[in-house]
Amino acid sequence: MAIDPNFEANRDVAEQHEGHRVWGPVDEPEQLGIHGTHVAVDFDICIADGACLEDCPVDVFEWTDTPGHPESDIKADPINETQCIDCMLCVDVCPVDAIDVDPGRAGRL
Amino acid sequence: MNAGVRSEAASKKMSTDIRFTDFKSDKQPTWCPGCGDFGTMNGMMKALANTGNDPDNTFVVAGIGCSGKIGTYMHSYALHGIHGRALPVGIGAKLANPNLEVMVAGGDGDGYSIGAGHFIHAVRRNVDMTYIVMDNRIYGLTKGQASPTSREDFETSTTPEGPKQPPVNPLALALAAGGTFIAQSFSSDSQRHTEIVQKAVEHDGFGFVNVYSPCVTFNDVDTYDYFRDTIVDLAEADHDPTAYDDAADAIMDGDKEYQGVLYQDEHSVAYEEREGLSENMAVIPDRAPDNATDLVREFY
Repeated sequence: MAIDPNFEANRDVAEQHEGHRVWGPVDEPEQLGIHGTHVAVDFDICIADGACLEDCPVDVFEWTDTPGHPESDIKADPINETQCIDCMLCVDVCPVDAIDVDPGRAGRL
Repeated sequence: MNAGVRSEAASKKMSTDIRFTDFKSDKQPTWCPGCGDFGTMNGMMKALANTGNDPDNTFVVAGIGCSGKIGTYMHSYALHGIHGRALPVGIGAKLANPNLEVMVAGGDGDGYSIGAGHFIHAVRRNVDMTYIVMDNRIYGLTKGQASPTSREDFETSTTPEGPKQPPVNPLALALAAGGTFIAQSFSSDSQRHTEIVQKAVEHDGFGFVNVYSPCVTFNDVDTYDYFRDTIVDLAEADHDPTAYDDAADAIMDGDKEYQGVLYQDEHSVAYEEREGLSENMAVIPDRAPDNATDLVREFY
């Protein structure tokens, strides 16, 4: 399963985290939703592989602790999504298709 | 007034509500994921927005190469020129209409090989414009051949034992040609890259920025990690860009990868200002033809 690129229409904002939106539903610790809007990471898909953190040229992602989540205990959080340059490398390298980048989505909000 | 920088009054129309995203076109770049050109372009757009420009008064000229696609990806007036010949087009546009913000972009091949002649003469003419070179030290669009800035031992398909000649030092070329603003930045360092391009835009004269813009597909030597590990930021060093001798020493130091403004002539006055060109020629009665068709006939 990959991140839903239409999450804007299909989900609601549940909360804010580190300056970015979290798109629900959220039911911690098992269900964490999608973090970020311009750079969106589906925490329920992320397996903490780390390729995006390693490769992002402008360091958009940082690890955040998510103890008790069935996929992984840490997640790649798009804390610096405003720094995103839309190069799509994270989308390309993510082994589980947990990331979607859409600058237009950021502009609409 | 800070000499060498446009005065407030001389600045073009200041738009307060322009955001850098207004300079993005609706075309999705076809650069490889992770390409340094994304960050380079991002900083260019931010610098343009931060200096009060808007797409209506901005003209982007590009040459050939991966970098050459930039005019398509930016929302502004643009011209995709021929290989190495973007600079004269930009100069022509600026002289015809000095109110335009002209930004020329190209790669290391476009600027230092095919267009090397235009480069040094554009530098010495000192027209008020900005020249951004996306330097990835390889020909990326043609799938990886040595470029003028490739290392002497850089193995490629056409140079299996390396080019066997030292790389061009573009900053030194610019200095020798009488450059008035010579800078270098790294596409991955968004904030510093934007600041440096912004200074180039604000400079009264030819603002030249060589941007380390890594090729993630064909250059596994000059990588993001390499630049992150080796770059020396002049903002953290005791460097006075207005001191010519210090600038020359830094520019000729081939062992260091500097980021920052290496040299700025604080007394620079742009060519078109010296020549008294200040208005759009198309609207000056004694210079513009009544009928463009007549002009075409005259010169055709």
